[in-house]
Amino acid sequence: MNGNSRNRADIPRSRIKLLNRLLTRLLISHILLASLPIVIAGILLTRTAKNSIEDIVSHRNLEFAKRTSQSIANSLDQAQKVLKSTAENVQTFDMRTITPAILINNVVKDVDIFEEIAILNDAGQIDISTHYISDRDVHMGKDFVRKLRLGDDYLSELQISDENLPFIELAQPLLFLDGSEGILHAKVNLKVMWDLIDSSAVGDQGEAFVFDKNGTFIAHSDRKKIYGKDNFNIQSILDGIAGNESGHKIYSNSDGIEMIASFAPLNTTRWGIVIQQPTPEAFRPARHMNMQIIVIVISALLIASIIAYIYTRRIVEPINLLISGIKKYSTGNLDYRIKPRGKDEIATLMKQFNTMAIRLTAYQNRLKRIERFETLSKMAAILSHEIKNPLNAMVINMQIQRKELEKSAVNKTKLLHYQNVVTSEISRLDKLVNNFLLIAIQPELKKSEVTISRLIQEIIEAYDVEAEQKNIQIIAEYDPGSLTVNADENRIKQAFINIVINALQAMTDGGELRIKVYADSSVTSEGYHDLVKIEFRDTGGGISKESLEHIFDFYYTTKKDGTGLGLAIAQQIIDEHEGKIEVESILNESTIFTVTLPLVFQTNS
Amino acid sequence: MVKRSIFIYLFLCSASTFVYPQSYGENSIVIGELSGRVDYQNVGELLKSNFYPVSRNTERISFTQVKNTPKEVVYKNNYPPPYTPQYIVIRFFESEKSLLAAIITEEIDYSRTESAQIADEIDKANSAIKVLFKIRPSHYAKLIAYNNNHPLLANRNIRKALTYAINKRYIHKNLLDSRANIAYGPLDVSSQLYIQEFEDYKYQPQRAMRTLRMEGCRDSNNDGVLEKNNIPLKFTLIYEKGVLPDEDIVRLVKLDWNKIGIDAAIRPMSKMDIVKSVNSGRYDALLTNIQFDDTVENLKKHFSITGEENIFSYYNKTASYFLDMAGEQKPPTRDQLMQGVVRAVIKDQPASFLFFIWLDWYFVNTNKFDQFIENRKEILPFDEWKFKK
Repeated sequence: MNGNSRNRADIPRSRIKLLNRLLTRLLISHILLASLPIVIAGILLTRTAKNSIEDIVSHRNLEFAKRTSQSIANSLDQAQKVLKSTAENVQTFDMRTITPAILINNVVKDVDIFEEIAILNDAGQIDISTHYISDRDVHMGKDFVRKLRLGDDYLSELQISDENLPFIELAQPLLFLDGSEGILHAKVNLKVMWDLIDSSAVGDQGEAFVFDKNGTFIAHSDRKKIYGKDNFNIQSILDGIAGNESGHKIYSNSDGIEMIASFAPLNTTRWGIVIQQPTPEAFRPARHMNMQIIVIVISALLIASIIAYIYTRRIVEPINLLISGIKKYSTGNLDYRIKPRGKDEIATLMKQFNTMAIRLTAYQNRLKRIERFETLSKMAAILSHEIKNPLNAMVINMQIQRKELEKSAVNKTKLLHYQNVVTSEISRLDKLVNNFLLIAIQPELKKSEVTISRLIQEIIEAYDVEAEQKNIQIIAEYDPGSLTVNADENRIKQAFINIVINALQAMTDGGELRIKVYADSSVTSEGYHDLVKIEFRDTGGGISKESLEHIFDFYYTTKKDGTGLGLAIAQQIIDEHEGKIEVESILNESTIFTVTLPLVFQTNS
Repeated sequence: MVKRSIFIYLFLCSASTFVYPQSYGENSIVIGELSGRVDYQNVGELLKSNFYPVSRNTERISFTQVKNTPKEVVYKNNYPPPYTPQYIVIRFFESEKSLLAAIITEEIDYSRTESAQIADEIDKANSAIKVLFKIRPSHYAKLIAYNNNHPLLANRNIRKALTYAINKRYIHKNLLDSRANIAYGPLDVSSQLYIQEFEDYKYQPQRAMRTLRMEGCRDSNNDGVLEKNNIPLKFTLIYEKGVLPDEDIVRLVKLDWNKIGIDAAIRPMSKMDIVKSVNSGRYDALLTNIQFDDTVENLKKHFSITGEENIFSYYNKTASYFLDMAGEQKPPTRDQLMQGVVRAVIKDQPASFLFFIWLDWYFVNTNKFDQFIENRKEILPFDEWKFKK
């Protein structure tokens, strides 16, 4: 049989633990070798991606914050410049005319940032305003005028109007042509700042806001927080702004959402601007990138695993084939040869195996022949001894007959008796010769896959009637599944029959013959072997220790009419099948014959 | 120590009462209103007249006033639960900006504005506030009413010059963003009494100055303000306090008048003070809104010397005669007579007719109500609103 034509199921691996299999080990080592650089590269990439995105987001937001801060500062600066320019114009006009009023009204109309402009006299009282002047309007006071006279521009702290809206005040000193002094005072609304903040919010859930020195929101992309006079209370950012620092920080807000906040101070004020985003949104690109990297890494691992599996399988399969071949050879299929594949070491090993198998088979055949010759010689010796007895008996009886015939009065009855003895001895000789021939002329084994349970069942059915007549009960027990051996069915059946007959003959007063068929295994220096065991337990009173030593000897029998060949033949047949037969016995109780044969396969029940 | 604790407790109680508006339970509707737009003493009348959409069934409108202060007016429903709302609270604000803050922070359940800026801001700031709009009826005019008994404003040509000086198109474009039509008379183009002559009152500053010169107005002291008979052309223009577009309109009107040598002091007033000033005849000019229509009764109400809402103290003999006659006539004679009245009004310019604003914005706090509109846009009466549990 050619190794390549065998089914893969023949490959003996089921009994080897998964982790101990060469395929598993090679596969794991291949995958590990392939995975390690991929996983390391993946980890490095994900870390780099995360760090880069975090860096980009925080820097982008910080840049936004700084730019917005600069834009707000520019707006305030622009407002101061416009006011300064308006002051220069106003002080050239005659305050008794309507012209200064027109001028400041036009400024309020055209420059959105100005909510209201007023011209104050040197006592700090409002002379002209773009808004209605009521008695309750607060004037700035002489100290304020005096302070401005020193030449400094004035920028107030942030104030909150009656309408809950933040504003600041700007002022410029006025020196009229007639030498009188005054102040150009403006109220600046922070709507422009709101618009800038609105446009600075990043992402869908991002927020931008400005808070004053107390942390109160004065501009926020979520207006509710301004009108609700909410406070920003992340102390580290407040401290940063107080220290005129900019930077970024990750913190958890009151809702437990992690935010990445970039902050920058607003020049000339003690306000701070923050542009923040929930980290899940801000770092979404990093997560996407990480997911992509993970997918790529997993795909690479899968591909590497598949390649490793295919490659490992290519390595392991010839080894399995070799193992299978060795196993088949070891279970008696001496004709089995493996067809080497490739030109590698395993192919060489296969060739070596084939050479070894050929030589071993030849050697074994020679051994068998020698062994057989020895057996036959021994048998011939025994036979010659055995033949002597009937021949002696025949000679004696023939001589007695002759003497009897020589008598005058022939006793026919006696004569007939002596003839019968001679005939019986001839018959005995014939039987001896036949049995000898049975052993000596060994037919060639015709092996095939034989299911033991079926064979046993057939024997039981054949001897059931006889057993019943002798008041013997035959009970069979089989392991689940069919146990199959590679054997010459007729020969192996003969062996079992011999054992069964021996058992039936031993139970002269009835009893029980229990036949048990089961799978077993053994580990020898040659490896692991699957076996089938057939146990014949009878209650025939057992065998003495002395008899046990000779029970498989040719012509050894303790029975009156026994030939002493049944168990010897059984042993010979079992030997021919690379099996063994053992016997154990408890005197006056039972005897167990156990036949062990190599198992080819076991099918599921 | 005990005294001190009691004092602190009383102080805190009074402070909390001051800071937080009183709550009238879940079944109350809090309306935000401007003190410049509505006289708090007149709220009862407004409820009855369904000025606020209280109920389809006017007989169902039965409320008892339980609080009446300039800051807050509260009415309790005379029908017990399950009728809703059990309380209607009208909270007054000084300006639309402070009302805006209250709407955004959801202290207010319902309010309205003319200002698209405010509507936009609210829409942007709080998604829980539903912003709706409603088309106003025709001939709802925004105008500057003049006191025709004023020594200078009694002069028809000076009133005409004031109208010529106002750049309505600029205001229309820059402030109202085309949510209004420019007005040239009391009736808009949808009226059958509308006549083309109305459009003569376009922005003509040169014509205004020429008209004033013809009336003998001179800047004799070179202060930039004209005088007539030694009386400077300085007027006080009052307007409804806190109403956002009006604040901007008066500033622009003042600038336009300044350009032709007329000075105007702009003065915001509460509705109550406006009513008092107008009723007593102690005002110069007033920016206000008047609902006209092309019926004899309406024109009589506003332009007849005996009309109960003739805030201008306007009198034109011919117009009065026509109005008296029109009541007794049938179309087309009546229409011709009414058209004569309108023509007289336009010629006399008892007011500078500025715009017909045709859009109002309404706000509803959806965190409090489930069902407040029908057909996707019409606001339901308050008694049909479903309160959220």
